[in-house]
Amino acid sequence: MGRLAVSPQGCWLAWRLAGVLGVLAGLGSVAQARPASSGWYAEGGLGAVAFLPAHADDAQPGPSLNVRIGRDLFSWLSIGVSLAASSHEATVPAPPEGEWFQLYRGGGDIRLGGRFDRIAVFLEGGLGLSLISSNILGKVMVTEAGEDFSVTFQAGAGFEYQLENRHYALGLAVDAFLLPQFDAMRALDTRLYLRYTY
Amino acid sequence: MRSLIVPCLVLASGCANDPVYIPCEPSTATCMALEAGMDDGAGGIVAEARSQLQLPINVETADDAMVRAARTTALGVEVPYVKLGDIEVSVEWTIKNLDLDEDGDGEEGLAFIELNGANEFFVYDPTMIVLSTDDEAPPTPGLEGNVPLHMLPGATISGLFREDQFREASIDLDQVTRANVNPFAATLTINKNAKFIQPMTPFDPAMPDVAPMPMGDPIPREAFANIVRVDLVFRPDRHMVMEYTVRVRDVRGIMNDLLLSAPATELQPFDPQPFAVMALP
Repeated sequence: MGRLAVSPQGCWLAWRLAGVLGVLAGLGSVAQARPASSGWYAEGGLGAVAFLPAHADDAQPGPSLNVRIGRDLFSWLSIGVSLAASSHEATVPAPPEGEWFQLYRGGGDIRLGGRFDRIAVFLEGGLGLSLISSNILGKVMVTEAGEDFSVTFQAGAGFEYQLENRHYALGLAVDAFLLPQFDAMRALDTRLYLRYTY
Repeated sequence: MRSLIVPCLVLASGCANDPVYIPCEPSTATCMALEAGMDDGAGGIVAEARSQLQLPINVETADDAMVRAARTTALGVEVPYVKLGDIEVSVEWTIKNLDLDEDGDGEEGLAFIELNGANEFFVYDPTMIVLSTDDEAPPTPGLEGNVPLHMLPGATISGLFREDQFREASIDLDQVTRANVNPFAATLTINKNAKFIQPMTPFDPAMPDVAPMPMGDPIPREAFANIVRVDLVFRPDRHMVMEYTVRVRDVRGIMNDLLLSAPATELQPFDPQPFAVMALP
């Protein structure tokens, strides 16, 4: 049985070759996307709602609370239903002064999007119903006597950051909504939310 | 499903007791213009402006009337349709001193706002209650207010008759009208937590100095009547204008959704009687 003699120079070359191959292997591999669950999901968020002209002067921006549940139908499409509430100080001509009202919104929506590793972006739009808690905006003709409800059209966009746990993601979304029965009042709803996908 | 029910309940509970606002601006037909202190065109000035706002309360249902009749029988005291606490009322007002010329000059003024009102039994108007004909006798007080408000030229100030003041005013009104309590005693004592009202012997104009005596069974708190008509008297000493908004929290759910736009047939036709006491000279 012959014996393979390896010189110190040959050993150094072998180590060098292995190193180069390792680097090449690393460069040639496909990046592994961060895993994210798909299917039923729930979201809970906090944010702010600000009214847009021509009624921006009639109510201050106010804090909002938002919950949403839905299902991913495909990797690029999901549906959901959401409930949201926001609270605002009415700034109608005095009297009254310093009075607050709440706006409750609920509806269904569709979300289109895509994922790029740990970031997902989406566009969403929906239809729902809104309830205003008082008639204080009647003073500026936003609501009429006995009018509490309005259809709500909503559209917006956002992005999500997938956490290392495949069930959780953090998101930021901005939606504009329109309330035709409330003198076509428009507003922006900006929210930061946590998403849990089952 | 549970994730939907819980938020729904939270949101629904947020709607309870939401206030409604009943504006009473000079431009509306339901309220007179509360503008006073200006020249009346005959060499004098308009001393005061008065306003009455009947709260738009639904017609009493047959079931409510039956329950009320049963309680009236049980208590031996007439129980009102609109009881204390069925609605919580407050009034927010704004006054503007118009005594300001083109050069920006004007004079500081003084204004008074007096709150009166009516429940479904009686109207409280202090000018109808004269307990003494002595020239130096103080006038009968209003239910609330009459605090001097100093107004700089062109200035605007805002204020509020709070819910607890209205509760106190409702009880004072009931004390004076149904229980013959002296208006000074009723308005100068705090009664908003009173459990009952003890009726007294009526004021005797022929013997105004005779102290009243308790008479009959006390009226329990559950039979206290709430104010259903808001009367305001505005007395400025300069040309000023006042606007106000009545805020109502409908605890029992008896306010009409259409408020002042509601058809008259949907509203309870209250017919309170003026309460009058006249001392003899």
